[in-house]
Amino acid sequence: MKKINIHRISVLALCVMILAMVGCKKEPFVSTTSSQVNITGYLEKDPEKFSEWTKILEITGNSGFLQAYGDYTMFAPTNEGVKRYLADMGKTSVEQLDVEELRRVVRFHLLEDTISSRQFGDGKLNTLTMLGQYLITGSSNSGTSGQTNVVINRQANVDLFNVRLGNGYLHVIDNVLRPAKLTVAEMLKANPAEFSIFTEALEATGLYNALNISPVDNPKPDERFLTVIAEPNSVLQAANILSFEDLKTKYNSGNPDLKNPENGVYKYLAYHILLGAKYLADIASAQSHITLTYPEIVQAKFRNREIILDDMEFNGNYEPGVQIVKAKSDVSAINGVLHTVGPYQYNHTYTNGNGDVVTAQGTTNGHFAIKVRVPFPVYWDVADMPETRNSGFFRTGGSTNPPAFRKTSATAPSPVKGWDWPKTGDGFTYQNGVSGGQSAGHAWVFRDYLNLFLGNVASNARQPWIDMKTPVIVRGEYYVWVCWRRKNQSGTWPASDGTTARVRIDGGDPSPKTFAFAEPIPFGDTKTLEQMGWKFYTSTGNPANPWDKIAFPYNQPWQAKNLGLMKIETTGEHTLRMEAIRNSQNANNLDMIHFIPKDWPSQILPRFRPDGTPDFTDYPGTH
Amino acid sequence: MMVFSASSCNKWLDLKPQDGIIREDFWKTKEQLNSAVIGAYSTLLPAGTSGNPGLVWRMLVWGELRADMMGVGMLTSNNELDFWYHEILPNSNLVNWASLYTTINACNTVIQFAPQVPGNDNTLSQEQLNAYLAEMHGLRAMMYFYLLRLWGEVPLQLKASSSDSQIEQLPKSSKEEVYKQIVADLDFAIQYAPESYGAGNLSKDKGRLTQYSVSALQADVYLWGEEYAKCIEACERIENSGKFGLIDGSDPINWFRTLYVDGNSVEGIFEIQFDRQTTNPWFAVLAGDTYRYSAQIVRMDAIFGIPDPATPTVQDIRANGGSYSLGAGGKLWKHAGTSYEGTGLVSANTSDKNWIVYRYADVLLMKAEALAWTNRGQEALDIVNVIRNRAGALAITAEPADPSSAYEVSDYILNERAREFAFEGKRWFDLLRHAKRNNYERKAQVLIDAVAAVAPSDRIEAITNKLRDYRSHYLPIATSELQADKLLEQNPFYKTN
Repeated sequence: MKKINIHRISVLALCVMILAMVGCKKEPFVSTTSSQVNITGYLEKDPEKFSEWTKILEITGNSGFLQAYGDYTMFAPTNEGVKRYLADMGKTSVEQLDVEELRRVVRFHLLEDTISSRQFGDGKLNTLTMLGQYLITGSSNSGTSGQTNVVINRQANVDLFNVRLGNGYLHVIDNVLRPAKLTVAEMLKANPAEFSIFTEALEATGLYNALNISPVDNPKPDERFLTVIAEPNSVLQAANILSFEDLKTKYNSGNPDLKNPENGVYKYLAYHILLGAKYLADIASAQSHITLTYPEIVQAKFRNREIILDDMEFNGNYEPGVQIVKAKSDVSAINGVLHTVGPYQYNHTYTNGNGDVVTAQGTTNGHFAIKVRVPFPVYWDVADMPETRNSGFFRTGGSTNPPAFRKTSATAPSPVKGWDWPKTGDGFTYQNGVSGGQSAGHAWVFRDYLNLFLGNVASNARQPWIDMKTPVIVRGEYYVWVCWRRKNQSGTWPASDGTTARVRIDGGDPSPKTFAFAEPIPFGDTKTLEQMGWKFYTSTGNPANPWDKIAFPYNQPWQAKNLGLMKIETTGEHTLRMEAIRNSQNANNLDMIHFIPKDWPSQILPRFRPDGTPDFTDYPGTH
Repeated sequence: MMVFSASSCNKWLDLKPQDGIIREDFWKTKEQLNSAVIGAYSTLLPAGTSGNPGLVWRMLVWGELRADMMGVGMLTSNNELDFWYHEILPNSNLVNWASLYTTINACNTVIQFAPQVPGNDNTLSQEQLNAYLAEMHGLRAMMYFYLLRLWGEVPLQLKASSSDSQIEQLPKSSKEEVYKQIVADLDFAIQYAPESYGAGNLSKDKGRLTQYSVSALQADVYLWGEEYAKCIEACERIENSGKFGLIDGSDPINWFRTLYVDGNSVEGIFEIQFDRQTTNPWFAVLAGDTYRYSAQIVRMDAIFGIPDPATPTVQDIRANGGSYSLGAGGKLWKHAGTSYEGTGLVSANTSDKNWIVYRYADVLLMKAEALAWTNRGQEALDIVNVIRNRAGALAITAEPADPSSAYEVSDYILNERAREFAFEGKRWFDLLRHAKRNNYERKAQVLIDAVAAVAPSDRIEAITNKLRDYRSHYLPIATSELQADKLLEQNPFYKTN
């Protein structure tokens, strides 16, 4: 067709020229200044920069193990950085510092994992420091010079990133990182100008004590780290709460004992405390968060780069939320994080009960309390959990060696919190990109999925069931949709069904319907399919004709089956057991599970794009 | 044929070719000169691999991946992901500039040795020689213009070096010096470049540099340098030639085929020429199941507007089905699709669409931008409307720009350029040109806002803070280059890496 080839003639000549120009050996590529040195060795080699820090490591007895092999990440302050620290402490040499305190400081600079700047974002590093506190990363742009620095824990700038050493990564910083010394409770108390009313209320309800325990001493593992979203006096005053007495007047209901979890004041406060250390980036990246008033939850939205809490639209009503004050948030404590809440200026367009599109504008005062919740749909990306997020492969470009989550014995603890399976060995692998010769690209939502090691055949090593921990689901009745990519590992449907399975929630009755991983979606347009209990849940990826008889055994659409109406008894996280009823295959590739309230306007939409964003258009055509 | 030997290992030091004698043997006839010139163009063509993408592949990545329209697709390397996150490290294979210098060196070689040819072959006229030299100066300028916009300060290698892709031990030149060199090369090129390579030589007229492609490049360079009068002058040279026009968009199927699939249309000014023997990278990179990049769908709605539900078929031809395909997972349809709103994808053999560097619509919009900045806002808006009408732009994307406000008009042009040149490797450069205008008068806000619109929620602060530091708008110099050329200094933003 097009284009006469103009290059053909000359390519030979060119090739010869290029060949001629490659004459000598390549120099070995060295990516850092040292190739096999370990952390201690690297520091010792450069006393002009690190003599003080080296001394600190020696005093605290840490240089030895940092010379050994392992996987560490160290933030190493320069001599100038140590000097700044000494000046702040009012000392002139490191020998004058308290050794115990120094030990704590050093452990705060060390992580037992290899962490490069690739993992630096807006929030905490997913690995705890050896001290047991989280480090946060961020960046700052100083208005005057216009230069941006990467900042660790808001205390030190990074001078040099990613020095790869024999036993880990080293990042050079210009100040010493100071671990938090106060608990969340103590931090609130130390700032009466802002938080006197809130703190008084915490003390009166005994919650102050729950917020005043260091993680190692806390007997409740879920409450080792807690996150407080505190209402400052100004916010409470705007809501006509001028004192703790006013707060009591407003909320003191239920059990009259303020220290009883059924007391209204207690509940109001506990609703401001989230489980876990949740920095703003963590809050922004999940729909909802569990509070101490379990099962009550706080909902979060990320809108115009602000975090809005409890901003809700349901049944044609809109309730504007409150906004986290970024500048006064993300403050680390020994046992968690402190955020401050404030007014939210809203401008929201929605469809009201009459079907009219309306815009609501105004400003909330920042005061918030437990809300009555109606069920809302949960579109659960099953591959999203702290363990996969921490794997280094999470939603990245693909790994040829996908992380497998396995148990070393049937009774060993599960490697995934809240998940379990009965036999030794793999539970599932986390898959993204292309791995193991299997293309994981295509329509997978968030580009990833779980390959479940699930099956029910005697003598087979696959797991007869896998327990999975769901996100927060509000009490109510839901249709449960399993979303997966159909595949027959061998044979053809229906003679071969892959693995047939069903689900149970919290050990309750099994789902009304079962599904099989090799089971194909029937023919039909969106409406017909819905009546039969099927849908296409991805925005793309199904070929124009995903299910024709010719391609019958081979076609592999992304599809979802409605397993029927299931009851969620309490609001909160639940255990969903996927149990194999019969047969077994390798290709059990699960992408999502949807919980959609039974009276929700649509069971079908949205569909989801590979980047996780919703698509509110019907799947086109009849298939 | 010839066997060259290069035995010395001091390649970084040798400014003179080691094979001078043989080279002298080579530059004997005008046919040899011609093949060397063509050879320089063919350095643009290698498709490359994911480990070392070819130049055109890089042009797409460099021009789009840090901006707001193109996201990562299904199979993405960590280097690509880092680029997308603005977490760019000097050891990334995407910050290697070797492919640009390969072409520069091919140009340098011709520029240095071609003047020997007339002494050996008296059938080569001075005019012909100058025309060849003009092409090489123009092509060199194009490569330096990429370098200027991507790295800012780069070494100016203007002599033939002994290695095709590596530069000699040279320090970086300032942005001003690089700009001056580009302008000087183009001044030479515009003096001698031919108007045409003869009737019926469409692929040469679009694939080799002419008066018009040199003018388009000049316009782009002057716009970057904020020399608006000169930009307008260059654009008008193209307009007044009467040789170029816009492909009619009222028949989108024909528009797509003529402009993108067939290529070398009346709209094309400079297109890197692919064919079935030398295919482009897009089959492997954009069309397969493991496509590496895709449209940022959410952003597409904001940029192209959503069609009125009452008239769903009334849509911008440059949106779904033209530039990208929703039905195909947001694949970059312009490059990966075989027909407008179709479902067919290019195959290994048919992935031969040209890479369009300049086309007439670009010239019109560059002129409009220059007009906006020389108090001729209404003329600029008229041009924008020509572009919009051709494409059937949706009314909701029309902006009530005040003709007397240069910023309002040029912001509108920037948005129109996003629609017109989606995924043509221009978006990042467009954003940066607007961001840095008048010495960053608006603090790069236009760039930051665009990138923030697609940044992930747990990295948005890190990304926007980075972009507030203008030094981050330029790439780091690759570690391998720093090690090879000891006179090079890392760009300041990346000194800590």
